[in-house]
Amino acid sequence: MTMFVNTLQDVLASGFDARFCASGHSMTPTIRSGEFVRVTRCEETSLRVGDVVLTAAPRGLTAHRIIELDSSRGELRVRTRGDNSLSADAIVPGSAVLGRIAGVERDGRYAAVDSRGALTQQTLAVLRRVRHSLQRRFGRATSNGIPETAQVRALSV
Amino acid sequence: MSVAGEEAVAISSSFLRIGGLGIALHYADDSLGRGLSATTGRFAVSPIADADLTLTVDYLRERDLAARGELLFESGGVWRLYADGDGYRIECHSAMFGDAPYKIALLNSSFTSGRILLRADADLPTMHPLDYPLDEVLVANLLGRGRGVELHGCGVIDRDGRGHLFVGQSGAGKTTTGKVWLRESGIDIVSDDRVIVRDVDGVLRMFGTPWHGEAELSSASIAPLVGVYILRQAPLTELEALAPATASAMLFGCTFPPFYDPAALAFTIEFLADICARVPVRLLRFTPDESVVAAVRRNG
Repeated sequence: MTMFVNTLQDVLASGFDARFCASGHSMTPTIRSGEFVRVTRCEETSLRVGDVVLTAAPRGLTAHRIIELDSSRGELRVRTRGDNSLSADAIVPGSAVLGRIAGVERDGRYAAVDSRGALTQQTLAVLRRVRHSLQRRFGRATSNGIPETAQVRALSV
Repeated sequence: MSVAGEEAVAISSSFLRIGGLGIALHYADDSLGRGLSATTGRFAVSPIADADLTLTVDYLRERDLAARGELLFESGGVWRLYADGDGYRIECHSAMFGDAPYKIALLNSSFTSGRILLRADADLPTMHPLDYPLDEVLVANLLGRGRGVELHGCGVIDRDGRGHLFVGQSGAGKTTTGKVWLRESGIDIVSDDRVIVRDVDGVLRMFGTPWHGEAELSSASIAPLVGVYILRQAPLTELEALAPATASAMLFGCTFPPFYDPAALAFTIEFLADICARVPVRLLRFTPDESVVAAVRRNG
């Protein structure tokens, strides 16, 4: 696995996202078993409690949510836990965090999974309701269901 | 508290049997009865007349977000359990859907009937009302009321039809053990993460569940339980007998009883003791190779 992890780190460091198939129920409903997740590069300094991250844990690659960040000993240490797990994972150094789970592919579309993405999802839900109201009022469909300029503004939140 | 779903008239229904427990779901709207996951779908059955748990499924409305009763259990994750009059209220939360619960289950005091309410904006096209973790929480409560236990383990049905249960917490080697057994022919892995054990007609039986581990091993198969093995990874494979009290305590550490229900806890402890009295429970120090299969077949 070390070679794989090194390769993954190189891919992310080059600015590319990585895509994995998730297995298990520890992060349902945020990530459901069998769904593909998108991993993006992240700096240790950008990590926040609530982020869902991919770590090179002792048990293997794990995508769980950060519940604790500890810098009291000089270097960053990260503790994660699955949303449905009974116990937290073993604490790991910040360098074990390979990337942030930015989103999940679900039902033919992409959904953000991080705590910051929840605001994006709520904004998009509002825009979808606005779209439906416009369609009922004017009987005209917009591209991709959401006005393009509005979508761009929402994704930049 | 009323759980009759006073304004919900079922449009369609579906039925499951998990651990031998019948669950009937009646949907107030066709949009609520979307397909079960492929894994859970293996536990779908024909209509049940005598379901252990009957649920109506409807949309969550503003009035359903009314004040809750006492918080009885905080899972630390997705779900929380509250008192709700004489019954219970399970709320499921996710940061993906904001602060309000995306799903609420209202149950009567005996967990035999209730309602599941789904938020319309919570990704319904891809969500089934019984999606994890609610299905497991409901089954755990049914089991704790005198029906059996759910264990953190890998259940293997050998080619002779006998069931062996390999128990351990995360990282102990359940999935690894399952993969070793799959190299043999005629093997059925009922789950590589969660297995139910019940006494059916005087025989301890092992049931598969939809809740699998990393290897995604799951089946609805059932087998008589002939041995329980508590996993410890080691340089060599060997079995060690355990005193019943020690075995019970170790098994308790791998169960999921309703901790907030003293009667369910008492039943679970008693049932685990019963398992240890009726079936050999041994410590299995193992290396992940065919020596595991040989040791179990030689001593089982």
